[in-house]
Amino acid sequence: MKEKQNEYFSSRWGLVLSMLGVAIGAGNIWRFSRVVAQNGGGSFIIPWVIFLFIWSIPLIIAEIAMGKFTRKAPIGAIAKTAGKSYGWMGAFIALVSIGILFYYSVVTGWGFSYFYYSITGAVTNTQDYRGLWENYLHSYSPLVFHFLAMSVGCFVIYKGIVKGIERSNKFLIPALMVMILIIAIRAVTLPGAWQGIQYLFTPNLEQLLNYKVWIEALTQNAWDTGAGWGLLLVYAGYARKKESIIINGCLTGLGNNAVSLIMGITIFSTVFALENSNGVQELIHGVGSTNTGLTFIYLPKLFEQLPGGPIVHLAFASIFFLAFSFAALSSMISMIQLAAQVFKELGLSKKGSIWLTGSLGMILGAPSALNMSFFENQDWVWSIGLIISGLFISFSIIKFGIDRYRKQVINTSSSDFKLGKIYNLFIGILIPAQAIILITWSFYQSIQMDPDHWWNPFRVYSVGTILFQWGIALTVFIVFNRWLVKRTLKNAFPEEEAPIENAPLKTIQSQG
Amino acid sequence: MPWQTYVTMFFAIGTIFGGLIIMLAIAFLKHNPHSEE
Repeated sequence: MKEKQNEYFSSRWGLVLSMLGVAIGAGNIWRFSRVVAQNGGGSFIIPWVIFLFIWSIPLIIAEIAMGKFTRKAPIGAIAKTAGKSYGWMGAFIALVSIGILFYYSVVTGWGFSYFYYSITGAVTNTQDYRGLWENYLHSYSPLVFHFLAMSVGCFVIYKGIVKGIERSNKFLIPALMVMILIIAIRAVTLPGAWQGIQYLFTPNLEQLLNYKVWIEALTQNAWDTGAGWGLLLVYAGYARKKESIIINGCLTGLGNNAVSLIMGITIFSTVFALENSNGVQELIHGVGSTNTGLTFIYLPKLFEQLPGGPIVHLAFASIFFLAFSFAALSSMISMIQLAAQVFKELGLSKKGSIWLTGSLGMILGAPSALNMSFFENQDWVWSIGLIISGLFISFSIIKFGIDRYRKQVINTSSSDFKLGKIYNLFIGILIPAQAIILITWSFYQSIQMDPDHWWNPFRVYSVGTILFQWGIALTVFIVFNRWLVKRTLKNAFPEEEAPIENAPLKTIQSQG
Repeated sequence: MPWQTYVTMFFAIGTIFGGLIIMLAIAFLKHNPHSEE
């Protein structure tokens, strides 16, 4: 049955905010600052800015272009770009994001819960922040809030692109920005805050020459910007023809890293103002050295030390956890959209695909809500999988012909800029090289940490668990590749869009 | 404060926020596709 795509983002503002919603997530808030502290402050910032331009933005542009011109979720998009034999790569990209969705919903639920605990005073009235967090984790509350988060996300997707995704992001992202700015202004005006800002921007030559700092900076960009996840690809499928791929791609990458930088300035200002350099040690070795420790134990303790009394503590804790919830929710919405669209393209109805995504999310996310080891294992397996996703996108473009892709798919008449030949170098060499370095480094570190059991598929952080879970998924996808691609491409393209591989050059250029 | 701090600050904030402001300006001043439709 032919189906005409009739829903598009209604405005460029709506599209940009939705894409920012994909990129800005928990990673900006709970990962960036502690990774900066653990990698020498300013020494980390320099490579972090560089990798934004040689990993994130080229990949985001590639992904947006692929989505806009294939108008398909990852399976169809890769099949249309690299060829039908490679649809399994698209299935893997989709699986990685869906795998992340299952536990990311739990993270969103944690944000909801702690916002609730903040406004009711539970966070600010305690002195035992660790106890509060651990008691919470060992209760059924994370499961209840995980269900709530999945329900809210599915409801947004059910409302559609414009009334659901666009409208929610038009509220969530500006509100998030306002909240982040309120916290940032309070933080930088604390006495002693300048020391924190100085730490954040002072490089150390020895650290700057350390390859580990550069790998960590690349890792932060790879995990934080949403590049290579397939999520921007799906949203771009609903962009109007005249939307500029390059501008939207740059805005997404830059906007995401701007939020990280503001959060970094905020956290370092607060840490130094309230705890001097002891606070940095907490971020490097102490309670703040993990994502959850920083967010749910260390930061509430810092809020309690803010001048102004209980009302101020309650207000800042509430604003922070609401901002955290909004950041996580806006990303989670895009993951649900991806999953639902994959199921829809495989033949389910819109309602059916949302019900299936919601049900799978609730059931398969439940173990992560109830068991931190399971959560950490899933985070380890699928966050490294994102690097493979980026590699697959890059491979598809190489297979399609990088120069052809640049000229026919990216540099259309709607582009405000034209990408030069240097882009071929990014996609053809730099991104695959960075992906291989990251995978090798992650595996090497894992083997070093657990040399006797690195092969064991049932260890939380082993190489074995990654290869085991990826292996099962890839085997199934390769075996069923023909079926997956056939089902996905069954529906004709929207009338005004022609498949790239069959369309003559002239037709593609005129689409712009 | 060492000069390296100012250079890093200028590099990071200038690149990210400067780039963001330029891109926003181009996006909303130079070309708004929806105003043409």
